[in-house]
Amino acid sequence: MGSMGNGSTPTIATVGLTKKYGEFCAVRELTLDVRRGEIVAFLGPNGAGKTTTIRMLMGILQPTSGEAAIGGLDCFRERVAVKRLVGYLPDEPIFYDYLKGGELLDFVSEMHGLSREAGRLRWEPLVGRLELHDALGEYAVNYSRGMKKKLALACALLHDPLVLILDEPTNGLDPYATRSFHHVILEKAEEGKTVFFSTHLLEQAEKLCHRSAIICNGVLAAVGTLAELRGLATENSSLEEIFFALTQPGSD
Amino acid sequence: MESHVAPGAPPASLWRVLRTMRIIGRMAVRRRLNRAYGHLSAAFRRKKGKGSVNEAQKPHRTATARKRPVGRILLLVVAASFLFNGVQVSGRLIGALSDRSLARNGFAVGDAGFEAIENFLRQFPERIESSDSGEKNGDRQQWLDYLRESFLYDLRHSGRCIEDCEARADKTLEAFLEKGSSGFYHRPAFSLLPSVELWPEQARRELMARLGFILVLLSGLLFFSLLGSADRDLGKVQWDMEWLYTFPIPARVLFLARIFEQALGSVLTWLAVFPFLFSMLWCAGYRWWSLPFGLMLSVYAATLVGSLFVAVETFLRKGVAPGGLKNLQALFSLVSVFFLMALVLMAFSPSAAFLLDLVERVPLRAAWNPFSAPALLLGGGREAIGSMGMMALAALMLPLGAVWASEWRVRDGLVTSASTYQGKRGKADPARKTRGWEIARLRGVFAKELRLLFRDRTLFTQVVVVPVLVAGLQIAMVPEISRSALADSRHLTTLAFGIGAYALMASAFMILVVEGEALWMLYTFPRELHSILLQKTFLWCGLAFSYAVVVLLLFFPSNPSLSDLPNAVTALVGVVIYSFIASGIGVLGTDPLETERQRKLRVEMVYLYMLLASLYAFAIYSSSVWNKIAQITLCSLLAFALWQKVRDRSSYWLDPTQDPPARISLADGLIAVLVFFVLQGLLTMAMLFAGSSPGWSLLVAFVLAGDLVVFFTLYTFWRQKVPDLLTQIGLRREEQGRPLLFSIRTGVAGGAIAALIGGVYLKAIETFEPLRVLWQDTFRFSDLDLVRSGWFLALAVIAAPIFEEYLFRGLVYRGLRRSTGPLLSILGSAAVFAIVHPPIAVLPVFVMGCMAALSFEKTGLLLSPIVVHMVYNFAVVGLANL
Repeated sequence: MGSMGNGSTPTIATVGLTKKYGEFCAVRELTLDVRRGEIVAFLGPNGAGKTTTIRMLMGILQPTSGEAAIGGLDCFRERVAVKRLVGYLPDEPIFYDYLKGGELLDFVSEMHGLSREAGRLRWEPLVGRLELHDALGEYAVNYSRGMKKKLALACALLHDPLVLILDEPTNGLDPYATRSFHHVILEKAEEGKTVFFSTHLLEQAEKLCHRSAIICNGVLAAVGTLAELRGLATENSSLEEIFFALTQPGSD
Repeated sequence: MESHVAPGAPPASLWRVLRTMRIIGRMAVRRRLNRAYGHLSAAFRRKKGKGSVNEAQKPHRTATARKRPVGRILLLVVAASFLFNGVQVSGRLIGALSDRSLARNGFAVGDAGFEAIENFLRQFPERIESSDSGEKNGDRQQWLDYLRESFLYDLRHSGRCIEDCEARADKTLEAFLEKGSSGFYHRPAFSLLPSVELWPEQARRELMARLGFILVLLSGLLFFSLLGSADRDLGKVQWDMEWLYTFPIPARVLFLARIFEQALGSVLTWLAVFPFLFSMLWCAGYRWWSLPFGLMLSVYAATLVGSLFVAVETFLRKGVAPGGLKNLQALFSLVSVFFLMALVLMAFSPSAAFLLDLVERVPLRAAWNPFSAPALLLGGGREAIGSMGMMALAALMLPLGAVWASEWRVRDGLVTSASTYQGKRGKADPARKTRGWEIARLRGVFAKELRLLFRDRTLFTQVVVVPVLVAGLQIAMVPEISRSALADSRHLTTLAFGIGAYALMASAFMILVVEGEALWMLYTFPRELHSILLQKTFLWCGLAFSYAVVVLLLFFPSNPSLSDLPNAVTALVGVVIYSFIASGIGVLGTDPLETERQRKLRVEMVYLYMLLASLYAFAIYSSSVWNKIAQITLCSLLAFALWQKVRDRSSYWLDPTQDPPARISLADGLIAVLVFFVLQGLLTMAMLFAGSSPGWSLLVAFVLAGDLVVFFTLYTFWRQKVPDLLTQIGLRREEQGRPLLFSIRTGVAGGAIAALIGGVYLKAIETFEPLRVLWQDTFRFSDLDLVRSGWFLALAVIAAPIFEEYLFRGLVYRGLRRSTGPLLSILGSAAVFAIVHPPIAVLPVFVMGCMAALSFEKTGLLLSPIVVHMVYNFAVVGLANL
C-alpha cells in the first residue's frame, strides 16, 4: 500500500453528521476523517447509510445537523467549489439516451472547464486502460452494466480531482477491469489523492485500503486500520469476521 | 432462442392455448389497470416531507402509486365521460356524412325550424299563393318572418355557417315557399344519443359506402397509433416478449395472445372504434342491441387491426436497425395524428368540406373489404349475408395468417442482434476530425441539448415538428386566420407570440424532465444547477424566438406603419420573457425523484402556463404603450420570482424529505401586493354599498386591508420560521444598525428630494399639453372635493405610506435584494410601485420609490422609507391643492 500523506488537515472531515428523513434517522452523528493520500473503505450492511453519507459529501443532500467538509470547504454550502475537487462515481450510473460514450466524455470535460482537446488528452489514456476504446462510438445507454461503470469512472477521473468518492466501484466489473481499477486507485493514492469508497467486497477492502470504516444502522461502528479493528473485536484475522462481529443485529 | 417448443413439453392443445391466452390477457389487463389507477391516484399523493416513517424509508417513489378507492371511482368517471364524448363525436360525424347525401334532396332544419314549419302548416294547411287576400297576407307575412327567425336561430346554433347566416336563412325560406315541407328534413339538435333520423332510407346505400370508408380510417388510426405508441419502444427488444419466451409455450400462442392483448388493450379501440360502431348501429335503428352488437363488431375490428399490427411489428423488429425503427415509429405516430385530425375535422369543422367531398366519391364497391364490412351489415338482404361471410372469413384468416407469418419470421430466434454492445476487433480508424459545423463549435450544455434534440426523434417531433404542424394545419384549415393576420398587426403579433409560446410548452417546460435519471451527472459539475438550467432555457428561447420571427415575416403587411412596431416589440419581448416563465414553472412543477417519465411533470402547471400566456395577449391588444410597459415589467418580475424559487429549491431536488428553508421571496411580495389591492377594492365597494362617504370608505378600506395583509404575511413567515424575520422586513433595528434619528433624517432627506422632483413635475403638467390632458382625464371621473377632504389627507400622509412601504420595501425590495444587487432591487421595487399608480403619477412616484428603497438600503429600518413617503405625499397633496 502506498505511503500515507502527511497527517495535516484532513481532506474529508465530517463532524457529527446526521441525516433524518422525517422520523427515520439514516445517519447518526458520523465523525470521520480521511487524510491526504489515504484510501478508506466504507463498509456496512444494506441500508446502513453508506449511500446517504456519500450523497451528503457530494452536496446532493443537506445534513440535518453536523458538518461535512472536503478540503476545508463545506460540502453543502460551498458545493460548487467542492465539485472541482471531487470525482464521483455513483452506484448505478445512468446516462442520457442518444449520447455516445465519446460524446459524454466530451460533455463532461467541457462542463469541468476543459476544452475538448484538453479533455481528450486526459481521457484517452484512461479509456485505454479500462479497455473502453472500441465502445466509445456506441450509445451509452446500450452498454452493459460493467461498461457503464467504466465510463462513469473515466468521467470521474477526467478532471484529475483531489478526492475520489466512489459508490460500489467494482460492482459489475469483470476481473480484468477490477484489476485495472485497483491499479488506478493505488496510483492515485501514491500521487497524493484521497480515495473514499464504499463496497461490499470485504477481501477487496482488506487488500486495498489503508483504513476501513464500518457503519451499521447509521452509526459508525468502528474505524481504523486492520490491526486496530482486530483489537476492537476479536482475535480473528480476517476483516470479514470482524465485520460480522461488529454488525450483528444485536450490537450498536 | 428456439421458436419451437422444447422437447418434452406437453403439446399445445386448444385448451392450453385458450388458457395461455387468458393468463396473458389477464396480466395485460391488470398491468394497464394498475397504471391507470396509479395515474389517477397520484393526484392524491402526499406531499414531500409529511410522509409516514414507511414512506420515508424508501426515498425513491415507486413507479406506480398505491391504489386508493378514489382512483377506481375516478377511472370509472373518466372512462364514462370519454365514451360519451366518443359517441357524441361519432354522431356528429355520421350527421355530417348523411347531411351530404340528403343535401341534394333538401335542406336540413333543426328543432326550432322543424317546429316552426309544423306550426305554419297547421295554420296554413294549403299552399299559399302570394296573391291571396290582404288580411291573410299580413298574417302570413308575420308567420314567414317567424319561420325565417327560427331558421336563422338553427343556423346560428348549429355552427354550420360562419358568415352568411342571414343569406342562408333567406335561401331556406325561398326553398320552403317553392317546395313546401317536402323540401326539408328534420335534423334534430344533439341529445344524449344520436338519433335515428340521421339514417334516412333513401340514402342508405351511399351512406353505407361512406361509413365503410370511415371504418377504414378508424382502423388505420388504430393501426398506426399501435405502431407509433411511445411507451413501447420498437427499437429495444421488448422485455416482456423476451421474458414470455422463457416459458414453455409455443411461439404461435404467444403471438396469438399478443394480437388480442394489443388490440383490445388499446385505449383507442374503446374510445374511438366502439363508440363509432355503437352510434352507427343506433342510427340504423338497433336501439339497445347496439351495445352488444357494437362490442362484437369492435372485437372483430380490433382483431383485424391487431393481426396486421403483430405481423408488421415482427417483420420490422427483425428487419430494420434500431435507429431506423425509432424514425419509423415517429413517422407512424405522425400518420396516426393525421388520421385523427381528419376524423375530427370532418365531424366538427365546417371548412373541412373537401374532406367530405373526398368521402362522398367512395363507391359502394370499395366497401367490400374486411374493414368496412360492418357497415355493409346494415344494408340488409344480400349485402348483409355477404358481409357476414366476409367478416367470418377475415376474422379467421387474418389472425392465423399473421401468427403463421410471425412465427416463420422468428424461426431463427427472437433476437439476432446483441442488445448490448459487444465490440469488434478491427483496424483502428484514424482520429477523425471533428465535424466543423455548429454543433462541434458549441460547448457544454448547448452541444448536448442540440445533439439530443436531433437524435431523439420523439423530442424532435414534439419540439420542432408539432408546433409547425398544428399551426400550419390551423392556418390552412381556417382561412380567416391568414386574412386577419394580414389585416391587423395586432392579430399578427399575437399569432407570432402564440406560436412562440406554444413551442416553448414542449421545449422549455421540459428542461428538467428530459434530464431523466441522468440528473446525477449535473450534480457532479462545478456549476450551480440552476445556471445549467438557465443555459438550456436560452437555447429554447432562441428556438421559440425564431418561430415568432418566421411568423412575423410570413404575414408581413404590405404597407407596414410605425405604429405596428410597439406590438411587434411587445410580442418578441414577450416570447423571451415567457421562455423563462415556462422553464421556471416547468422546473418547479417537476418531481425529479419520480421515475416514470409521464408523471414527472404536474399537469396543472401546463394549464397555468397556458393561462398566463393567454393573458399576455392583453398587453398586445391594449392601445396604450403604458399598459404594454406595465405588463412587460410585471411579467419580467414574475419570471424573476419563479427563478428565485428555482434557485432556492435546486439544492434539494434529490432529497426526498427536505424542503429549502423559508425566506422572504419576491413571489411573496408580489402576491401580497395583489392581495392587498384586491382586498382594498372589495372593502371599499362594501363600505360604499353600506352607505358611507367615499373618503371615509377609502380610508377605512385601505387601513383594514393593509392591516390584514401585514398580519397575515407576518404570521405566515413566522409559521414557516423565516430567520430574523423582523430585522429582514425592517421592523427592528439590526445589531450594528444606525440610530433611529439617522433613519428619520435620511427619510426626510430622501422625501425632500422626491418632493422637489414632484414639484417640478407638477409645474411641467401645467406647461406641457399632453400631460395636462392626462391630468384632466385622470380626475375627470373622481370627485375633486374628495381630494381636498381631511380623510383623504389622512389616507395620503399617514395610512398609505405605512402600508405601502411595508409591502413594496419590506417585502418586494427584500425579496429582490436576496438574489440580486442593490441597483436592480431598487429599480425593480420602484417599478412595481409605479405601476400600481395611475399613469399621470408614474414618473415622480418612480423617483420616490427609488429614494425610499435607497434610504431603506442605507438604514435597514422601515421607518425611513415611511418618512420619505410621508414627506412626498404631504408635499404633493399640498402643492396640488394650492
